[in-house]
Amino acid sequence: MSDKVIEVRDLSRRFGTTLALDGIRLEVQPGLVYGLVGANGAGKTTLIKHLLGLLRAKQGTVKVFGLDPAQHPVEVLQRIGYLSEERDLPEWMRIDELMRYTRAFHPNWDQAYGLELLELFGLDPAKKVKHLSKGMRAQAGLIAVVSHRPDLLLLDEPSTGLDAVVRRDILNAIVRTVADDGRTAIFSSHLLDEVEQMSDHVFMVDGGKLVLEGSLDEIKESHHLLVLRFPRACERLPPIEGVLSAEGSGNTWKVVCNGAAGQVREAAQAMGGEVTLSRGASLQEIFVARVGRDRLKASQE
Amino acid sequence: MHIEISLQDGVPIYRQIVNQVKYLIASRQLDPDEELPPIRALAEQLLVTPNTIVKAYGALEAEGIVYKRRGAGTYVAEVTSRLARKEQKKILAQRADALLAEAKQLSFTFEEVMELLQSRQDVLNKVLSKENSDVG
Amino acid sequence: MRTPLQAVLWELWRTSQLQLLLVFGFQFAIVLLMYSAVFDGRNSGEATVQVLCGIFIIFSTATSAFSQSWRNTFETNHIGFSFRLGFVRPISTTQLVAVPMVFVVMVAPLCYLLPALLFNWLIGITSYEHSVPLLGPSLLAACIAACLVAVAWTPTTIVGRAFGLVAVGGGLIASLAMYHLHEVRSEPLIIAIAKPGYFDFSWYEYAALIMLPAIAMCVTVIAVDRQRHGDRWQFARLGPRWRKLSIPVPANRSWHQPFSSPLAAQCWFEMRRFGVKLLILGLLAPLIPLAVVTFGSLAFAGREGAPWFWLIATGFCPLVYQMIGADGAIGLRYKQGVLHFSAFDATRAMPNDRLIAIKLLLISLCSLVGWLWMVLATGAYAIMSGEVQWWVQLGQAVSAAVGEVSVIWWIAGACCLVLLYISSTATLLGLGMLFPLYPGFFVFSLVAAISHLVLAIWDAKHGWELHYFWISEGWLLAVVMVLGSGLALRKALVSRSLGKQLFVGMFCLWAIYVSTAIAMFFRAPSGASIPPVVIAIGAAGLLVPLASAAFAPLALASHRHG
Repeated sequence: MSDKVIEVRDLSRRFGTTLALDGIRLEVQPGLVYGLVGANGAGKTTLIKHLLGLLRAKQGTVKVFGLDPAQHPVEVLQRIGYLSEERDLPEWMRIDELMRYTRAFHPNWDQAYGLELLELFGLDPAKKVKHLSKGMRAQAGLIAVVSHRPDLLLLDEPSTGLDAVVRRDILNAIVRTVADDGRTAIFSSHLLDEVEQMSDHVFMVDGGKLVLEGSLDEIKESHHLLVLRFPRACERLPPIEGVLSAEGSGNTWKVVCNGAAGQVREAAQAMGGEVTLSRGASLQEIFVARVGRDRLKASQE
Repeated sequence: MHIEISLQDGVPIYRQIVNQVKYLIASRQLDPDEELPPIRALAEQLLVTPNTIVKAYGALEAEGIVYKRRGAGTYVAEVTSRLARKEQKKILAQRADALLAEAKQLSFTFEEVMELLQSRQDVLNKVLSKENSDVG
Repeated sequence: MRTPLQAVLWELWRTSQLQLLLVFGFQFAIVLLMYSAVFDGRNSGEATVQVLCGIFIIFSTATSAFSQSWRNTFETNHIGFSFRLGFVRPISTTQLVAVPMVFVVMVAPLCYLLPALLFNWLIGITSYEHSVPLLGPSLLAACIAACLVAVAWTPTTIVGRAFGLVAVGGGLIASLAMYHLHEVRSEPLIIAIAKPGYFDFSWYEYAALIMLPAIAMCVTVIAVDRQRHGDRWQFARLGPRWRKLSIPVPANRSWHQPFSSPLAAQCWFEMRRFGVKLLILGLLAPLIPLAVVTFGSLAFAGREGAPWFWLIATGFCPLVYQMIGADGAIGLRYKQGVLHFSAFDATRAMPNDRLIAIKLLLISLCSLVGWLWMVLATGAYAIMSGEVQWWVQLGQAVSAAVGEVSVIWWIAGACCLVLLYISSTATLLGLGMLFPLYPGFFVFSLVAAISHLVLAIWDAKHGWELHYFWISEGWLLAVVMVLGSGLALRKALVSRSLGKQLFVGMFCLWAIYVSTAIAMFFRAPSGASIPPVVIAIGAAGLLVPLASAAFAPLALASHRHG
């Protein structure tokens, strides 16, 4: 098995009184696309900053390409392409200057690829960053980040606030990065259908903890959505083992459960109810069930 | 090759691709020995991770529906007639399931459904024979 | 808060608290220092008191006039009105602009009045006859502050802002100079300003001082209103034509010239970010002594003081460039009032010590170029005004005082100068980066230093009763300096913030510096009578330039790696 790209062990981080990360353990294998999902403030950006060495690991260890990114910034950052959430670029630079400048730090720069993307996006290389619209900034940042064929592509909320065309461009860039052997992509997003479509593996973060991780196929196959119908209306769903969240009112309740569909069915039938619909849950439904307000605190595994 | 991905029905994406490729072969939209799109191209077209395509093609190869030609692409296999029949049966079976479920909802017995089918078949036969006589 | 007016006032008050605290604190500290230095105990001469009053008036008026300038944010990212968020609030432009400006006009004179009252009260205690005037400088401070705010908020382009600064600044300086010459011809400013009749304005002068802020306010309201609704001044219509006249930068040329190394790329980046601005500043800087000297020679009959101005300019300009360069090189930005170290800078694949070294290199080079240009201008002026003889005499006097010095000393001296410049720039960079992270610590240190100073001055007047305290503090200081330098160096080397190559380079320079210092110490005639604590502090101080090489990369690392 090839070396892990990223290895995080027991990473915790506190800012003042807030616990931003709580005992995170994860591994990233090469050649896969990883989706990082979580509510706002759940700790995604803090985790990404640790991977880049923008935060030094005070508790726990972080290893990227086998090295500590804060101790070896050059070796690690040379192989990473990172686009921040705010698309932080120097305002005074022109697009061609940005490409020329970034090129100097990454020996694997593919100028032909960069020019191809520039033409595909229809950007004027002489324009300054401060005169670009939001979408064009994302495109310019993407070109600078993808053209040096990074071994690890790290995108923090790449699609936020962008139109459908630019979003396609970004997803396309992720596909192209991973399709070349051995390269890895991690992206965090609020658009869960994008994550569902594009990820091999998913990390779900909530309150600084990693609440769910695994291959997307396994997650989807194990989580089920069931619609239960009871003869009598009830204000709150009686607790059933294995149910992650319950939504609904009166007679009809929609529940999401993990791996225990049969048990839930039996329990519901024991209470006199029946299952009117049973299907696999989408990632959005799983996310809301695990992280949202309707989740049931009693039945966490 | 036209494939549509839906995230709504809970079926894994690679399985959807496998099913749709089978359907395309069965409905003669893909011919034997025709080349399937390269993994990367299909991934870019559908905007899914290339590993999903790899999985899908792998599953198709395992079922004998496609074959790989020495690393130079994936092609539809010859053994399609049996497959086509199997696929077509599956499609009909789905339709039958839907009809039977609907009938149950509306409280029809199985005998009533058979009567209905027979009467509809008679109507169809009449229409077909009328067409034949018009043409001939 | 029930009305928009109350809301805006509350916002102004909340955002000014820290700045006002600093301004008042600073001024009170200076007043206390002056008082403890001169007025306590001994009977100082009348002339000294007058000079001090004059210093206080000038200093305090200037501080008050610029006390609100932090609001103006003379940054180039966005030019125009500072509170653009207010444009979408249901409040008229007049209120939006007039309220802050009135606030400035009211607060600036207060920044002078309160310290002045304290000053007068303290002098009154020691029964001197002098007092500093209250009304005149207050009005002046209000006027200047209002004009500065108007200049910051009215223009919307860099050119407009530069033009406004030069025009208004020039106008103010010219009118102040004319006023001074009208009042008094022969005495220097410091003495004349403290005399009772100096700030007796005639009615039209009062009228001018009151009208000027009012006019500034009206102009600003109109300009900001246009900004609010997206209108532009007519000059902007010249814009496209002017841009066509400017040199077109060919976009395709840069494709074919990739940078030869990451070092070259980073140098280009820093040059574009702040180096070019520093060079332009250096280019324009000789205009300042030129203006002062020309104006002075027009006003006064003789030109005796002219070469002194040039000498001062040449001597001080490297320090000024150093400070401005360090400020520009740090690259911290305030976004919506929150400190922000750009992720783009932080994810540069380059180690911290190289990043700092490039900044230091560029600051030093640009300062050197600026300094050489100033020397050239001085020489040109000397030749054109026929004062070469004065400079020759100065040179002869200096070489006579220094005596015979061998070449080795010159080389060693040059190395020491380079090391000191580099280490002082590195210290400035480090402090500039750490201050926003730990402001409390810095304020505490400043307060501690000022209280020590006041205590020292008091003790000096009372026959050094506390000299054991001072000696033990001195030893403590030496120990702290040694420990601090050692720890900083160790941390930087262990965490790889300071690489081996650069450390070795700095170490060699530092070794020359130390050997020169020791050699000079032993050559000096009065080496025997220096108290040991001073020697200890001096020896500990030798470590500081080396530690500064570790200090700056550590400061950068604390921003970069959280």
